[in-house]
Amino acid sequence: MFKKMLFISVPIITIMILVLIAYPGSSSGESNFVSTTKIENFTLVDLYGNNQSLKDYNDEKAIVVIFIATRCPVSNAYNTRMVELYNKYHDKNIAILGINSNKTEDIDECKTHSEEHGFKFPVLKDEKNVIADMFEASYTPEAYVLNSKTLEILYHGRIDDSREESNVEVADLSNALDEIIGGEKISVAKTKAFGCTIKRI
Amino acid sequence: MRLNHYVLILLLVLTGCTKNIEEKDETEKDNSTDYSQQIPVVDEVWLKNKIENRNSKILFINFWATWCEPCVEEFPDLVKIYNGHKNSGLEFLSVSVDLPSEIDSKVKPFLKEQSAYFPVVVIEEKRSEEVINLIDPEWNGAVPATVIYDENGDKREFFTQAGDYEFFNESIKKVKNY
Repeated sequence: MFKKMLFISVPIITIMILVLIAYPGSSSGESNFVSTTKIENFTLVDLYGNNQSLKDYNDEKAIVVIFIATRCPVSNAYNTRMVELYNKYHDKNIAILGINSNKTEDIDECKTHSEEHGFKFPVLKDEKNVIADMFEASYTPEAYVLNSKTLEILYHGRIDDSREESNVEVADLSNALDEIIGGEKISVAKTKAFGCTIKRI
Repeated sequence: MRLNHYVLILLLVLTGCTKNIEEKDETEKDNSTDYSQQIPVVDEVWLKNKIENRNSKILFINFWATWCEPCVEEFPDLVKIYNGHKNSGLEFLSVSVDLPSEIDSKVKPFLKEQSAYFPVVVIEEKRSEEVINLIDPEWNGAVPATVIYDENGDKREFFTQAGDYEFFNESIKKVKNY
């Protein structure tokens, strides 16, 4: 009897151990920290004095909002990559908006910076960091992808996994956008990276 | 003539020796401010071990980078905190989130400039997310950030803004008296 039980239980335990090894995160509830929140529509002035609202983009598939800075070397390391993102996605119904919420960087500085780096996407000045507070954004460059109609946050986090473009292995933001375009569920909805603190008032 | 040769050889040998001694001195001097042995590149597993193995000391960790303006501003006060507490049951760990490739070009010169002689580690870039989540799942990765663990490795204080000597000192006192 004992031998029979052992005969049955050994393979079962082995399979259980193998499953645990293969899916170590499956029971740790990693996805719990994905706080899917919704953003309210807002209007900000771009660097040329034009009003821009999120609802202006509700015909797009998604809206990408990236909190950027003029003086943060981490954010600046992504200037070229942000232009590449715009080039890759603007004709695929993805809107890209940069937001500068740093109190230390005025609109003229933002304009010079944007033009110097050839930003084709609008950069909005968030005076008094009201919009950064609404998003609970804390660093630059911090990216959000919103459902253009419901303004629900679909992705939040880093642009990719390396400050050095040559070391990028996972392009998280692009992956999320490709999944949205392909009508798939976003597989990684939350990522993190070290960045410069947004200088609030 | 033969004597002159001996004198010449003796002089050459002596000059050579002196030069060697001078070179050795120079190397030793460089080593005293050389962090090459003290700046390992670490991941979340290393940090977790550090947090758990307390040896009855509280642990003060500051996350910073040479590119982070507020980090640079608070750095002299952190040096003061280390110098004032190094013999009083506090373990101080400075965690740079500069790239490992920038240790020689940016981290070491900065530490030298700040006369900072506390233990420093650099985070392996691809483990950044795991490190951030280990410290606090609510933290998104903005630096500076400072965390203080008590003697049992329990997190007691966590700040994601810059501080000054007074502020850090009070926070340490609070954790010690917990």
